[in-house]
Amino acid sequence: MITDVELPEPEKSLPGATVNSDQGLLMWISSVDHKQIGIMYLLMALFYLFVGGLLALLMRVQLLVPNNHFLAPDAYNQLFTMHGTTMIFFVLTPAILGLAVYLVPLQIGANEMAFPRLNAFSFWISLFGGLLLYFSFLAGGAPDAGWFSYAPLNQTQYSASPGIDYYCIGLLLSGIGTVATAGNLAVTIITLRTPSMQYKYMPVFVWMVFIDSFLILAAFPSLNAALAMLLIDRQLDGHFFNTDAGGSALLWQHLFWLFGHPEVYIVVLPPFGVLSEVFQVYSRKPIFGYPFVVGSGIAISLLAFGVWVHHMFATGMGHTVNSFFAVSSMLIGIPTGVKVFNWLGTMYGGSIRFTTGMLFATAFLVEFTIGGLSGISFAIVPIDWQLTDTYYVVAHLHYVFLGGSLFGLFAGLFYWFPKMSGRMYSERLGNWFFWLFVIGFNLTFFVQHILGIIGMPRRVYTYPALAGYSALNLTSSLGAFLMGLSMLVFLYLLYDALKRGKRAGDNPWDGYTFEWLTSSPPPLKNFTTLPPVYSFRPVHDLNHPEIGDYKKPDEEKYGTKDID
Amino acid sequence: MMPVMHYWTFDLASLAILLALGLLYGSMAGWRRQRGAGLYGAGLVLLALVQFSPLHTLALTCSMSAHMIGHMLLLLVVAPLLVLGLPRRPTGWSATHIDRLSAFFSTAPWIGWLMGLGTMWFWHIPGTYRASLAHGDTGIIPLCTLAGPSTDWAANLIHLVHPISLVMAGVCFAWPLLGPRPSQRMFPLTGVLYLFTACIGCSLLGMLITFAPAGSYYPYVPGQSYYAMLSVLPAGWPAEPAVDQQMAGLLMWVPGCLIYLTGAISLFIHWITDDDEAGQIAPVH
Repeated sequence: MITDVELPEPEKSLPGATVNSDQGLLMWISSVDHKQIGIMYLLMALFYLFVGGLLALLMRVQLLVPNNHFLAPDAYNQLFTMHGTTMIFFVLTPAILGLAVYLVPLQIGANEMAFPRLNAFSFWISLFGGLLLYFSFLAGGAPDAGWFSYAPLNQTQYSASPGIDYYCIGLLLSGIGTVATAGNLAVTIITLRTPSMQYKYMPVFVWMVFIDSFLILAAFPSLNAALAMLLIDRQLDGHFFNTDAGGSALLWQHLFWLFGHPEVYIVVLPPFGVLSEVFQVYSRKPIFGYPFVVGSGIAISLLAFGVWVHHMFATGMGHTVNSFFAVSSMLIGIPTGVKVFNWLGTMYGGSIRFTTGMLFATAFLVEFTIGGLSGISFAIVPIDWQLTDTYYVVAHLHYVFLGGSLFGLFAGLFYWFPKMSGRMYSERLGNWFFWLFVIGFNLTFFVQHILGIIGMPRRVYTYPALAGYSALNLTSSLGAFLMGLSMLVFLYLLYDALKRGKRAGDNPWDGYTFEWLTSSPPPLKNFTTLPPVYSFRPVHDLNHPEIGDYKKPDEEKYGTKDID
Repeated sequence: MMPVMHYWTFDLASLAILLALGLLYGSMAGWRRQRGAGLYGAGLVLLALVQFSPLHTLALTCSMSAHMIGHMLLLLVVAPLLVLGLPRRPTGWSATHIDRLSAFFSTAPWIGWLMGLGTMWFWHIPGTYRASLAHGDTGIIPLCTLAGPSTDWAANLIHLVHPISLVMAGVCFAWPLLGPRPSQRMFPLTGVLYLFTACIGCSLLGMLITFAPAGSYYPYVPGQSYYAMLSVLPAGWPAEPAVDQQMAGLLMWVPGCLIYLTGAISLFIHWITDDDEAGQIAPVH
């Protein structure tokens, strides 16, 4: 007999609880509810995805034909800088935080985040940080030194417009929000799990968010410090990075990549968690090798601080430094490879449903592996020297950030869409979107590997009509337009689902974790009672008591059984 | 065999440390072989290798990176092996001491963390680093130096204390994670965090050494033994002081971090695949 545990009520009711859905926008603005904030984070990410995507399309129009004069060089500099900054800081970061803030309390059986007001603060300060960054267009020019804003280009003598100042302040504000949310998530996971949910029964997504929070707390201070130093350089004539005055340009790169490399894992670990949920539910099997999926996440986060110098192989630090980081960078391939095989193992022998979410998850395996392999090629120092600052880097990073993070996020979005909206989306439209996006993505970025190898430098506003350049750039631009088109399909899909979608039941996918126990969309108070947890698939145990995981020994449950 | 491999040294002080540690084990275990004695023995063998092998000669005469390997082995490998190998059923006087230590570290594990990391940082302040090397051109402390002039003896005292302090600090660092009383050990996930933060602290020191101006840590006095050692190094060995210092920093930064990482992962995997944690009872149908 399963006895349910009652969830405690907060002593004082939170603000906004009395505002009901009739009050429209006010309900959203005043909300401290984790689900509404999560959705606002996701909408913010979607908004900036369209803005950042538009910037990218403008660049691809410029690169459509050789010697094009559609954009001036300085405008082109601003566009690629804003595109990169937007996509990293105002699309991927809020998207992962949005999913985390929405789902973590639901999956651990809590009714709210540990600090609901801080949660709202973090969201709004991130949003306004982004708006402030974009205000630079009106204030005399956007930042134009690339998303990592290398010194000395970020100094006033090379970038006289106030763009970089807006870059500093905008990223500082959103950085504060990110750090606060990370702390909030870590405290929530430590303190608010339903009593019987031991750490080893936490869903993989919660695990990844948990690890991610510590990674954010360890990495973001370096960025925030660097931004403050840069602001001092620019506004108060400081000399941190100003080489003319005895500062060190290399220091900026160190501080930036000390943050920047962990940041790659910050935006990819939660999608790893998402994919682990998506693979197991759509394969109707528990995740293969739970301890290894979680353990490799821990390994990745620890390695993050021992590999970032590989971004700086070309700065002339010497063979000794380069050799150490070449080796450690290759090690990253091990835990990542472990995960890929865990997911393949989960699919193996499963009864797979290829919904749109699962399609994205499966495509992720291919695209992310391509990104991983090009990454390993960069760990080989001579290859890095040859290919750094070419389109090969552009291809690599897009295969990691899009093929890795964004595909994972899309998989999660389609997987949880019925829960968040209470509606089913059209699989037909989902398929259209998926195929258009995947074909567009590969057309755009795969050819850029070749462009890089034949020597096309990145971040240059145009190119001469050399052999191969024109055709490959044309292909790339056409692919980008296809991706743009697919995003319109995506918008229509959302509209169609919200307007005409069938009602989703509480648990349309036969999901395993607690969010599928409450109604779709969940009420303001997520749960009143919860069953006890005996495995990492509590809802599966509840719905299928005859084959509950708790009846199995650990090695079978975790897929770690030795084959004799 | 390369010529450098012939430079084994021997000194009474290290022998005394090894003997003392061996006797300590014997008296704790009641002069019987208990489970884990192999690990303890491996720790002693490794300690002997660090103190007597050519690594030690290199560390004393010309190579900071050899010195760094010695530090890391003592703090992060020898000490955890000794702690892991402590007798599970200590006898007599030692039982109360082990209980007391375990209780102490279970209430204040941060002291172990601080000891481990603090000692590592302390010995890499350029001044103390220089002091920790043996004085006098011979570099090595053979039997006769113990009876040498009193000033040398006092200066070399730091050199003698140096490995002991590293092993002791390592023992304090490892105790909350691997102590002989499993019930008093830290919760494994807190242990992962303990190692993660220590890894960052250690990486920071590694970075500092790697990017410090060349010469900050270059305490070796070019003399007879310095050049003698350089001449026996294999061709292509990075013996220039600047590279050597960089390599020392990198050794602490990258492989050092990997040691913490290995510890964290093994803690995690042991914990999650351990069946009877908290005696979870499945529902009865």
